[in-house]
Amino acid sequence: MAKQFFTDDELVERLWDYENVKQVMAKHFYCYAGDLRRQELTDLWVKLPQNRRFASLGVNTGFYTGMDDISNYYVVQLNELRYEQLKPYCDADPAIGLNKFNLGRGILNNNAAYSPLLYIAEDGKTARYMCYVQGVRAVGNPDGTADCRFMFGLVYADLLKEKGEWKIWHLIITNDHAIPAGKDYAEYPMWKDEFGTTGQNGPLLGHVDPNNSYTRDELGTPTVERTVYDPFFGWQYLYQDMPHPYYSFNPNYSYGPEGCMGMPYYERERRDY
Amino acid sequence: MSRQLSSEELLTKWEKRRALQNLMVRFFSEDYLLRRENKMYDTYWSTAADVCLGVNQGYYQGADAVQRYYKGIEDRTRLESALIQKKYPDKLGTLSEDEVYGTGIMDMKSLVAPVIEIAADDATAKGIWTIHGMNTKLTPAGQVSYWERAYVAADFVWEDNQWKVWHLLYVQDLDAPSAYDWTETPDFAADPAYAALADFRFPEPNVKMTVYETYSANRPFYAPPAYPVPYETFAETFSYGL
Repeated sequence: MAKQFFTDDELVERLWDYENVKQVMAKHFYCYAGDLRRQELTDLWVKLPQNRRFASLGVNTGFYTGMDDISNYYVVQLNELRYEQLKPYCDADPAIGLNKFNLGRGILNNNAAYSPLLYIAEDGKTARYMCYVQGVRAVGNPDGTADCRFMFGLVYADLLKEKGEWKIWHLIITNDHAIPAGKDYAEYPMWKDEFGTTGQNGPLLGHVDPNNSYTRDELGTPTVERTVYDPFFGWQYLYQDMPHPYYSFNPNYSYGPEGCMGMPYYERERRDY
Repeated sequence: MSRQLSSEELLTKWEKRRALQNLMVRFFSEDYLLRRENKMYDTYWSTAADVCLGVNQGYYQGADAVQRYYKGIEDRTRLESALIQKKYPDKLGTLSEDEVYGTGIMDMKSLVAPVIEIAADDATAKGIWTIHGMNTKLTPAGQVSYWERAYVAADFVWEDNQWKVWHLLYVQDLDAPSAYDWTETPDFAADPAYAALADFRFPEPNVKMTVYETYSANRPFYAPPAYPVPYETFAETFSYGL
C-alpha cells in the first residue's frame, strides 16, 4: 500500500477542492460567454483587498494588474466595444436604440474549457489550472452578414482559497488561432503578410490591427506590456508553464506578471531567483 | 445556512455529484449518439407531473408532451433510416427496420464545463453544461454536417435512490452547416431520394415561445442560461422549467 501523505479528512477536502476549482473556472466561461464580466469579477475573483491588489489578467501582450485596471479592460472596454458594434444596427434601423438593452446584437461568444489540467498545492491554499478553449465567436452586421470565427487559445489560472472559497487570482486568456468559419484552413495564409496584422494565428505582437474587433477585445493596452503569448512561436515556450504538482505558491511560477509566463527558456535562466 | 458536513457526508455528496455527471453523459449518449430514443423517458425522466423539456422554440410540458418529443425523434429517425436504406440497397437492403435504425446519421455531442449544485437537503440538484456538437443530419439534399454549440441545463430530483431528470433546458446557440459562414444558407441541390423528409412534421412544443434563438447576424444577445448557485431546498432557487 502506498504511503499516505494526507489524512482521510484532508483527502476528502482535497477531493472537493478539485471539484470546486473546476466549477469556478467553468463559471468563468459562462460569464465570459454571456458578457457577464462584472458578475465574474464580483463573484468569482479574489475579494480580500491584499489579494485584489495583486490580481492580474493576462492577454497575449501583457498583464492588467489590480482590480481597477482589470475591470477597466475586462468590463468597461468591452462595454464600449459592444456599443460600437451596436451602432451600425441602430443606424440601419432607428427602431433599435443605442442603449444597454440592445447591446450584444449580432454577437456570438461561446467558449468552454477542454482538457483541464489542475493541481492543488500540497498546502491546500492555492491551485494552478490550465485548459484549452475551442470557442466560436461572431460579430454581425445589419445586412445579415457576420465575421464568424473559431477562436482557440489556452487559459491559465492561479486560484486562491479565501475563507474556504476558491477564487480566481491570476487569469491568463491567450488568443491562438482565429480561423474564419467556412474558409479552408489549409488555404488561409499563415501570415497575412510576413509580419503583418493578423494571420491564421491571430494577432502578432506589436502589429495589432485597430480595426479588428477580435484583437481589440482580446488585447487592449495592458498595465504591464510584455509578451505573454506570441502565436508566432506556438506553444514551445509554454511547456514550462503547464501546472505541475507543487507544495506552495511560488511567485516565480505565478500566472501573474511576476511569473515567467511566455518567456523563452533563455530569459528564464537569466532571471535571478 | 448549511451546517458543516462530516467527511463521510462530503464523500456521499461527491458520489451523488459523480452519479449526476454520469447520468448526463449517458443521457446524451443514449439519446443522440446511440439512438435509444424509445427508452429515454422511462430510463431518465422523473415521474413528477410537472416534468418539462425546453428547446429553442418552447417547452414540452408534462409527461405526454415530453414523450411526444422523443416519439418525434424516433419517427424521424425511422423515416431517415428507411430512406437511406432505399438509397443504398446493396449495403443495407437486407437489414430489418430495427437493424437499420439510425444508419447514416450521427449526432455527437460532448458535454463540457459542468457547474453542478446539489441542494443541502439532497432532494434535488441542478446543473449546466456546454455542448460542443458535430452532427450529421439527413436533409432533403442528403447528409449535411453541422456545427453545434448549445447549453443544457437541468433540474434533477432524487427518486428511487437515483437522480432523475425533472426539468431540462436544451438550447442551441449555434446550429450551422460546417464549411460555411454561419450566416449563410447553403443552397444544396435536392436529392429526390430524400424528398419525403420535406413532409415530416416534428411534434411542436405544447408551450410555444421563443426560449432562445440560434445565431444569426440580427439576433438579440442571448446569454447562457444562469448557472446554479448553492441552495438549501428547491423552493429557494430558480427552476430551469416553466
